[in-house]
Amino acid sequence: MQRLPITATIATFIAFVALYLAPGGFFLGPILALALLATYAVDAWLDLKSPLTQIIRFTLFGIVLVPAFGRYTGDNGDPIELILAHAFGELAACELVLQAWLKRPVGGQRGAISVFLASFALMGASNTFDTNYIRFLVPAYMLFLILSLREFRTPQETPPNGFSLPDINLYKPNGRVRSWSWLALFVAVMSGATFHFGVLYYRNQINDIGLKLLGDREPPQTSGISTTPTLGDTFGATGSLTRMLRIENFSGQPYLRAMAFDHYEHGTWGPGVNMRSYLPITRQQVGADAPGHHMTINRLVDDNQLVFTPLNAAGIAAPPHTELEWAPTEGGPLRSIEPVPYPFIYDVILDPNAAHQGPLGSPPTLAQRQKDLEVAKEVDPQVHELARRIGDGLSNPVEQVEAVQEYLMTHHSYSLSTQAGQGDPISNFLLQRKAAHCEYFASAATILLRCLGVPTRYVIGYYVHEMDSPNVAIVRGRDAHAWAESWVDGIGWVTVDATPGGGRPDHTAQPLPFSFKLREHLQDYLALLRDKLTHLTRTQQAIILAICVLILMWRSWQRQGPKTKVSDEAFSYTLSDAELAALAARFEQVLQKQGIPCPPHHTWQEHIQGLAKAAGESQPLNANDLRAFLHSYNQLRFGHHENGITRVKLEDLLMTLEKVAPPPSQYQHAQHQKSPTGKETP
Amino acid sequence: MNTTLTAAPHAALNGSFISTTDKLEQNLSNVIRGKEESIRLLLIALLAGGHTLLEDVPGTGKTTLAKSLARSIAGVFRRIQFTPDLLPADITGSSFYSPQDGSFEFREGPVFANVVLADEINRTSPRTQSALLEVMSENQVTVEGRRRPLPQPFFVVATQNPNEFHGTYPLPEAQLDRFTMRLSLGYPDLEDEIAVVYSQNEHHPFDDLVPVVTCEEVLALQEQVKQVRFDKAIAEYMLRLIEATRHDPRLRLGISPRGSLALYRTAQARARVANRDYVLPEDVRTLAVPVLAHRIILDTKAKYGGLRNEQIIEEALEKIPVPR
Repeated sequence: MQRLPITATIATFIAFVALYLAPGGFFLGPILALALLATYAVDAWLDLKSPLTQIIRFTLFGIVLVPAFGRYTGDNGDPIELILAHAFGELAACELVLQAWLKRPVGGQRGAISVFLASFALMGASNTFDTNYIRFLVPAYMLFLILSLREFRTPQETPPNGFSLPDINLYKPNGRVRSWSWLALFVAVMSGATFHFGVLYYRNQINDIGLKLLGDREPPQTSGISTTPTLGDTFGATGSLTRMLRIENFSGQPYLRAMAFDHYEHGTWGPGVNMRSYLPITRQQVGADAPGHHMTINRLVDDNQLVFTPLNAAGIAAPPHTELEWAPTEGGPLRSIEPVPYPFIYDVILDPNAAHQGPLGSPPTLAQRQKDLEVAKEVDPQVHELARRIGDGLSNPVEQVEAVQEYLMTHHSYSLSTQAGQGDPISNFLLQRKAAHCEYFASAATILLRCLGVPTRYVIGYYVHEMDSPNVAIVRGRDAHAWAESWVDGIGWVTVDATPGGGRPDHTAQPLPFSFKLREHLQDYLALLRDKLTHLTRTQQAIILAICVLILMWRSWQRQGPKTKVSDEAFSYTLSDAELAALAARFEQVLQKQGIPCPPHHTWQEHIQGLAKAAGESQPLNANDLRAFLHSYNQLRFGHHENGITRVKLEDLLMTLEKVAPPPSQYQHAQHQKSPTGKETP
Repeated sequence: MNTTLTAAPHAALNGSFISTTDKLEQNLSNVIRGKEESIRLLLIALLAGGHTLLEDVPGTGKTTLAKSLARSIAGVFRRIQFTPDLLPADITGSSFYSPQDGSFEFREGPVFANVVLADEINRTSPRTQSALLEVMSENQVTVEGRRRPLPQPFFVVATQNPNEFHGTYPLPEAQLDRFTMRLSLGYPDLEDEIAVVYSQNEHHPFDDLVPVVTCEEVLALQEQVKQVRFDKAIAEYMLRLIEATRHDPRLRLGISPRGSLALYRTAQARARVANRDYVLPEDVRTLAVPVLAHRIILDTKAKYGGLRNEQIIEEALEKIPVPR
């Protein structure tokens, strides 16, 4: 029936979207501020009561915008600025609430809805802020709540002194309005209480609910790969659609390794990512300044702080102030020492000579070599026999690798699920010729090659295949993969992927729906915009702010301009109530629609009475409705009876009148009759 | 101008207004049949604190109306029959020598009443006319240097016969301005006249009239009228109507600010009678002709061209856009 002003709805919606899409939520404050600013710029309904209010408001928005950007322009954000940005972000949220309330007429559905929405917006806005600020926020919220509730009180029913009530049923608030007022009151108080206790004590739960409602259907992944691969019935890292990496200037090398494992025991590869002895690695050691092709990898999730690289990376250029470490004797991995905020962007340098191998491809030490040849005792002796059969007559490690690869691909089929069975899962897999997933194929290849005396390790990582644009590749959780790496003297480490082609991620991946891609692109553009905005210089910020202020000034000037002009022809509304003017315009349209426009020098009352005399009861508009409308309208317009119930009633009556369809014959007739009077109008 | 509504200390009358005016109207229409419109206008003039000029042919009930009003408000009614030899002192009163105590005693003239009927005001000399008009505008009598206030409410209903010219001194137009309203009763229609005839078969219905309101109540109502909200848009509208007459080339004299004030106050009174605490454009429009028409002076050409004062006001009403 009744709606919130569209701009208020949009502002609220933007607040939600910003909350959802902006990582960290810091950006929410300025977004809210901008949305509000836009509200002012487009909505002629909002009147900025006095110049003082305007000055205060603009000052506040200025304070919100500048430090919020300031936090991003410097490398180390000043905590005071950050606090200010947050505090005033909340202020902007409060302002939104206030505006939503200002915009609703007292009582009625609209009041209830706006209070309801406003509390949600506030809750959403405060969600990302620290608990301390919420303590400041709640009193403000409550204050506005009380201010708004004041409007919901029962209207004064005693008439002004010396008067009796002329038309008692027009003054009396009807049951519907009364019940809506109560509902609004109830909803407002309840949501206030819920807000206070709920947000303070159940913040995390609320965030989770929000993520579940707004975000992906599945909980968000922070890691796509399993760092302690255990051969089970199902693939350890079941693929999700969450984006893990975004690779620019993709080199074409699909195998992006995370880490390698040497030790196999009880169906598990080890040691785990946190069980290794890490050493810091300098920029020189990691080859940060090496010449070659730069491939930029944007790690969008935490992913155990790991740095993903192709095997043949000549060097890694991590962002400044990011210290890397690695476990060189345990097959990597390379990772950042401290948890770094994601998205984490680093460059991988690739030597033009593909055969050249960088720090990751350094030859194994003797101890490492021994580890990479170790076959666990639990492995069935028949597996050794099988290996011998496969490698029969082959002495060249390259030929042995190819033979093992070919054997596994041709004798086993791919399946996402399998049964590990009793005992060693790899022996079972090999000897019973089971169908299994890539972890089994990689493990089996590793064990078989070790049996044949080729130093081999088990590697996990991503298989890159999804191209977003010719140069940009996307890696999702579903692209997790496992393979083996063998050391071949004279060549170096060789990638051994024994998984049959149909089991590789590029074949198992389902094409993504268009809407999914679209949403991702939207997220990317917003992130880009955010990135752009946060890298503005202070001068640019000041210019944007100045433009906003100028637009506002122009709008308010424009709004005042026609008003003074109009008062020469028509009459100014002394209430300065644009809502009444809008109602009047709508009523004129109703008359127009019925073909009975009112000439400007007649009052509506006279016009309607004249028509009633001429047409009798045959006119389509209900005489009682018209009478009631004019009565209520005049009360507000000329009597200045600031009575919310009358206002709601007026709106209802107008809607009833607007629904009346003009009967065509009547229309023609009325039109014909009225046209001479219509012509007289100047 | 007072455009804000302030609470006034009239608790005793709270809520009684509608019945008061309705009672008055009812009472008067028992005597004067079929003239509800004129009765209402007369009441409006009374509540606005103004005076009325009834202009009509003899025998249409002018005197009865004034008498009935006086009796209905339980006030003192006096009638002055204006004749060419009437002197100012005859209406204001004068001092007489009292032989008993050897002093001068002031004897009040007929204007010391609540409702004064100045019958056939155009039959007396301009000197006496002026004396009455002065009393009307000042609500007091000054005799021999002493001011004597008139009883309140003070309401003059003057009548004049527009068709007789023999032996009359027509009121100068400038003096007409002092009357808040000019009304004419006109002949009743057939049905009403039958009722009039039958009702007076045995005795005049006037004899059955009983007072329904006290003078104090009328005064309180007059105070309340001043609290009726007059929206600025309507004031603008009203002044535009009046402005239009001031620039009309067919007029020798437009409407004076006194006319604006009269229209302002009577519009408030009309709102009160309709039991509203705010004025509507309709109030101004309805009252424009009775309150304004007699205040303008047509130029000679227009006058002999057959134009009437009322037409000028009606034209303005059809020309000026109304606030909505």
